[in-house]
Amino acid sequence: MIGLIQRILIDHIEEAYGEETLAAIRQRAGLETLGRRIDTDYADADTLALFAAAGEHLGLDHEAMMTRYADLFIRWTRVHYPMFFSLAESARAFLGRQPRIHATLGAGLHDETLKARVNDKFRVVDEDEATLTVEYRSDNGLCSLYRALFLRVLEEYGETGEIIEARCRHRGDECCRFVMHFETAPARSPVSAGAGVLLEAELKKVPVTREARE
Amino acid sequence: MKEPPQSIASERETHLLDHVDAISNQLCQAVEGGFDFHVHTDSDEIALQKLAQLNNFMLESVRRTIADLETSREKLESRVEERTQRLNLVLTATNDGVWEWEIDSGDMLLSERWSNMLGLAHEGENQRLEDWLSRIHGDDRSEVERALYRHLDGLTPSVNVEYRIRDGRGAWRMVLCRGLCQRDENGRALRMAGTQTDTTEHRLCDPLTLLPNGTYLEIMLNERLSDRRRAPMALVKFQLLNVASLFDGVAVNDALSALRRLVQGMRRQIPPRIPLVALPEHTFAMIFDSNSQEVLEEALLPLESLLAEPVEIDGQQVWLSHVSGVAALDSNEPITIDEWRHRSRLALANARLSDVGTRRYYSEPLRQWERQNSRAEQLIRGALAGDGVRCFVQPIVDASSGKIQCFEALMRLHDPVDGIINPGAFIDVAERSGLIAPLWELLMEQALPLLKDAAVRERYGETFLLSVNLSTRQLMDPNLLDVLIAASERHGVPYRRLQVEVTETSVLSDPVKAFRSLDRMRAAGISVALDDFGSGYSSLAQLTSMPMDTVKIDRELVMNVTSLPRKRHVLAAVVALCQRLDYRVVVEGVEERDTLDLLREWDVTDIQGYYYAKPLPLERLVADFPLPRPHRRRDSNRSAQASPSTT
Repeated sequence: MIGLIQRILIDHIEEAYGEETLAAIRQRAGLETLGRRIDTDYADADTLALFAAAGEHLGLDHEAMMTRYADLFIRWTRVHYPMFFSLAESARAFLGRQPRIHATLGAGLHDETLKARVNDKFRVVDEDEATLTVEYRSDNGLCSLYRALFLRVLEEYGETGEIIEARCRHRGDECCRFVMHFETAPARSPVSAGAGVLLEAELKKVPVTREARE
Repeated sequence: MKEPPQSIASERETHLLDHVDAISNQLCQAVEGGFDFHVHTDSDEIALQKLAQLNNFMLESVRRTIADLETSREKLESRVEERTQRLNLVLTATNDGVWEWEIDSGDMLLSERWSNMLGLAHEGENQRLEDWLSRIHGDDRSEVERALYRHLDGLTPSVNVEYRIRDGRGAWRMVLCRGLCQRDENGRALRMAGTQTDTTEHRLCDPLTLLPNGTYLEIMLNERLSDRRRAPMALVKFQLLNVASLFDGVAVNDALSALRRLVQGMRRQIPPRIPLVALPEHTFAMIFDSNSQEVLEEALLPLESLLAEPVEIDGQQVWLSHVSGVAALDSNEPITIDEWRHRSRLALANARLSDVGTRRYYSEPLRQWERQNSRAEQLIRGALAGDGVRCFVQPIVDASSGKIQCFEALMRLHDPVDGIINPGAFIDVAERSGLIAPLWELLMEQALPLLKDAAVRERYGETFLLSVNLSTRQLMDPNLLDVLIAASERHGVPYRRLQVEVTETSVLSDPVKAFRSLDRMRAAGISVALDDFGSGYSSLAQLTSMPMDTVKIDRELVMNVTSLPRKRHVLAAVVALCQRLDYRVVVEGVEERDTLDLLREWDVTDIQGYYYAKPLPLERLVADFPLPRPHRRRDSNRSAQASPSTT
């Protein structure tokens, strides 16, 4: 998995809970070292183990952990990759570009097999002005993270919408398919405040409205 | 820009600069146009990792774009290749060559196929427009140039011109040239390109025989006559007179195959360098490099021998008749193509009037004959336009009873200057020109009322037949019976009182068709008589096979029969044969009592000739021809008697 993913988590734990907590979590995950390079691919199992250990250490179940991480992710990328947000006028535009951003980060991988795996993970299969359908193929099964990111992105852009996971690897499908509906007219630019307000929202199928957020 | 001294830069700054420099150095690899490398940094700085990462993204994008372009190029090349192959397939299938003319440089590009179709070595682009034009026939060149330049000037939507072009063997081929101009945005012509299609087979070949056709002959005649050092030559035309016989009763394809085999055989019988040309009406032409009758005789003999043999078709043998006409030229004799062709046509036409196998050489007297023909045609046309057709009748008398058996309707033309004209002066021309049909219709209009004319009925009874002559053309007309019946009904006379007279020559021109026509008429109740039997070549075989009721023995066999014993024997034999075969016998040309007495001894009853009556104008018949008395045998001294009609 691209190092950026675990780098965000590592930085957060280190900043929020200190080096000792980070070392404890590393130990709980069974890792000797923690890779911090954002342009390096690390073993999927190591990254997943780090996520699991962090959740356990912080007392968060998987879904809550993903929601937390989605917030961290958006915050981090907003700092380090602000242009990706500037390029998109709406949550739909941002998420529509997400497979390409993902592939962009994958471009940093030197190994062609690894790069192909990254490139093929996300694919937009259908889109119109109000709907976006994305397929996700990965043995890592992080569809919960995608759903959390959807909500966080909506929040970032001050929009409402709904995500339906029409297919899921966890249900035996060959891939996960997210059908996303965007109900609010896109804002001119993403909002930056209010992150984390809805972190506890129901994640499996979550209609989110502006009223709920307020 | 002046860089800060190394000593005052912080260690971190130096570290960062080193890493940025390392990344830049790696990017230098792109200078060679290669993007297949990976940017790496060892720095722990996120910004530097991001920089390396995004550079890799850029490189990846470039690689993808190049790969996409390469894929598109390959697809395009594949499509171009595929379309080129398709175009080549079409051009190959249509036997088309391709030409391109660069307007500014004047260079011509002629495709390999263009050269191949003309049997020329392929010279690719090293040609000029003039090279192309110089191969084109002189009579066509200016038209081709005009077509090219008119399109170049924007006057025509495309080039579309057909012309003759000399091939690598020196022969002429017919080609169709089509092309279009490519122009810039200002309408200025850049180049012109198109195809050349070989239409030789279509334009210069006779589809029936697959030989060169009349257009090809015209090219040859032109060439020969335009040769300044012209040697003596002869244009020979052969005509097969009864090719239709090949097609009777056999499948068309079998007949065509037989005809083509015959034509190929003919081709083999003439010198290899002399093309055999097929013309309309089963006529064939050749040009020989000699005007000597001896040389031509020797050259044509094998061909004539071949034509004397029967053609095998569907297990049967068919004999074809032919005639030929020759128009020979002296060296450098001034003459036009039209005149040369006209002479050969005259010779052939004159040969057709003679026996089959005749070969006629053009000579000046044929001009006189032609003028007579022309006069005859004018006479016919004048008669048709001005009520000049006259019906004469000549009786056929049953000498034993004096009763009228038949009146033969005979055609005469009335000329305002020359008065009444006999058929000998016009009937051949009428037959050849097809004017016989309207003449015959006018004759029938006058003759048919005879059968219901009260004075005629009162004088000659109501049982005699009205006999009319049929030409070859009429005999072959499948509607003849219907025409006869319709004409009879129109005049209110019974068609069963009609008799048609046909000659052996007519019947032999296409016996199968003729027999079919005669059978139909006899079945309808119309009598059939074989006219002029004994004149020219007569075939006794016809007497056994031809569907007919009456044989009319020609006056040739009758003349002087009383004074020439050998002739008398022949006539006696013919009469006896006809009687034995149960035909009615009419003897024509009987002018004297002695002849009549002789014929009566042989039990011949039906007599036609001046002894009883000359042909009479229809309107004078009753007045000028009283019923003759029955013939009475004279005593043995056979003294001359006056004609019964004048006593």
